[in-house]
Amino acid sequence: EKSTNCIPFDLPRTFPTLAFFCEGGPLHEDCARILEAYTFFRPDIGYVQGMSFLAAMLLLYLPAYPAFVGLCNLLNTPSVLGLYTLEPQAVACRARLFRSFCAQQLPAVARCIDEVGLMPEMFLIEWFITIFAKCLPLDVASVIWDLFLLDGEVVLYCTAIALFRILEPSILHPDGRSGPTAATPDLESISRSLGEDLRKRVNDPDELLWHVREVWRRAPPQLLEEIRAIENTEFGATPSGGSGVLAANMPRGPPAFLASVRAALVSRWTSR
Amino acid sequence: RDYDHLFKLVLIGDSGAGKSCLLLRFADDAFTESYITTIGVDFRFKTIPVDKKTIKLQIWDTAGQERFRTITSAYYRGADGIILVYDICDRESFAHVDEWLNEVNRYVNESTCKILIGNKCDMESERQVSTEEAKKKADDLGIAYIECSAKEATNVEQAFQMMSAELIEKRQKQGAGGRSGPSAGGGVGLLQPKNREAGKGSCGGLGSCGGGD
Repeated sequence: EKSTNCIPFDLPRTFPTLAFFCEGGPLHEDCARILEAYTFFRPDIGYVQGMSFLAAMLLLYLPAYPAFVGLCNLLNTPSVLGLYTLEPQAVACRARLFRSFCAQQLPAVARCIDEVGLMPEMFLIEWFITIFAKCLPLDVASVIWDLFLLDGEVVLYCTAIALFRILEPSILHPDGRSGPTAATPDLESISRSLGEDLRKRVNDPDELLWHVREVWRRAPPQLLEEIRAIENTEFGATPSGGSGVLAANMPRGPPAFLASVRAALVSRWTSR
Repeated sequence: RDYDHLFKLVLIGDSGAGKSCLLLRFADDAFTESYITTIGVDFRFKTIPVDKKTIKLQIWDTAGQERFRTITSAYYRGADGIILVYDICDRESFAHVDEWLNEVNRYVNESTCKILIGNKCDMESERQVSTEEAKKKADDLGIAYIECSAKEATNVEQAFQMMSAELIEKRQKQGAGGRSGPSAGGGVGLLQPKNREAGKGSCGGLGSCGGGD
């Protein structure tokens, strides 16, 4: 499989500050094996950049085999798989939903993003396919993962909007001032907000969770329904022919595993 | 505004060729062995003086993996310059140069400025593509060639200078009127979101821009 060529390149570039996944790091071998195993399990999908963050995140919490099973299950949902196939339609409809969600919750930010010519795809793809593991500090991202495993794709939108809520002042007022002499936002200032500022500013899991909840609470039911509908839609041809045999040979463990993770998360979540 | 010209440049090339590292070197004069994988797109800005003019470069850094081409192609639109990067220690990345050019030529105008960069020239002992071979390739394609090392900061600044100088010359030739608005139907021009939005209605996304084929 050609796509496996990327794996050795990507591992050291996955959570580089942890040094767990670089060559010689304690989780390097496991991570490489899991990703290679996945490309043999689903040669029709192969390794897609971004997957290394999913595998790495799971490996930080689980032994190799359950992490592999978890990765397969995660990538088997129409939602995550749809994102990883990068089917233009699958991406476009998510960007559209984000746009209307953002316009409803943060009209000034939505207008600003539009005016400077920033397309939501530019940040959404990375945020969604890594489930925020690349852009957020690990402890903050872990909390979002918990929520995502519990409630699915709606969490991705709510988190994205929550990030914009937190970053709103820096986006609308790049130099921290307002009034006629203040700097106006442009593509450069917004990309700075979504880059450096985001990492610096978003470091408290509880704060982010509070914003996620607020966003969710104010979401129009119709929009949530649309998100649910897209979450379960398969885009384009999803060939499964080649992997049929392998799929049949997969141990029956996976669903039970996911169920137990969910159960553990539910208790953790409700006790918060 | 605090610049004479604004140019949009797009970095393309195989995954691992060093696109993000070149950009990091150019924009921040820094280098790290452990740069994070680019997923989708990233951009950086830098203002540099070229021939007594102040040039603002808006540089888009794209994901190199083939799977991402369906989405990255949308980012080529309106590019003034394309920077094609390969790794001199990886013959395969050099072999894909034609493929990348074909891909990019579907979206940008033939006259869009292009440059070929052989990166990692500090790793001479692991070189797989000779300078002569690459130079010949670039000549055949009619584009400029330069070897760089993002790690040792060799020729990185020069590559961007070279491209900017060519772009200025081009713009001065075509823009007799002085105002540098994008000409109708041309792929060359400033990134002017408002005009472009108006042009393509409410699209602005990948729905109608990405698929192309």
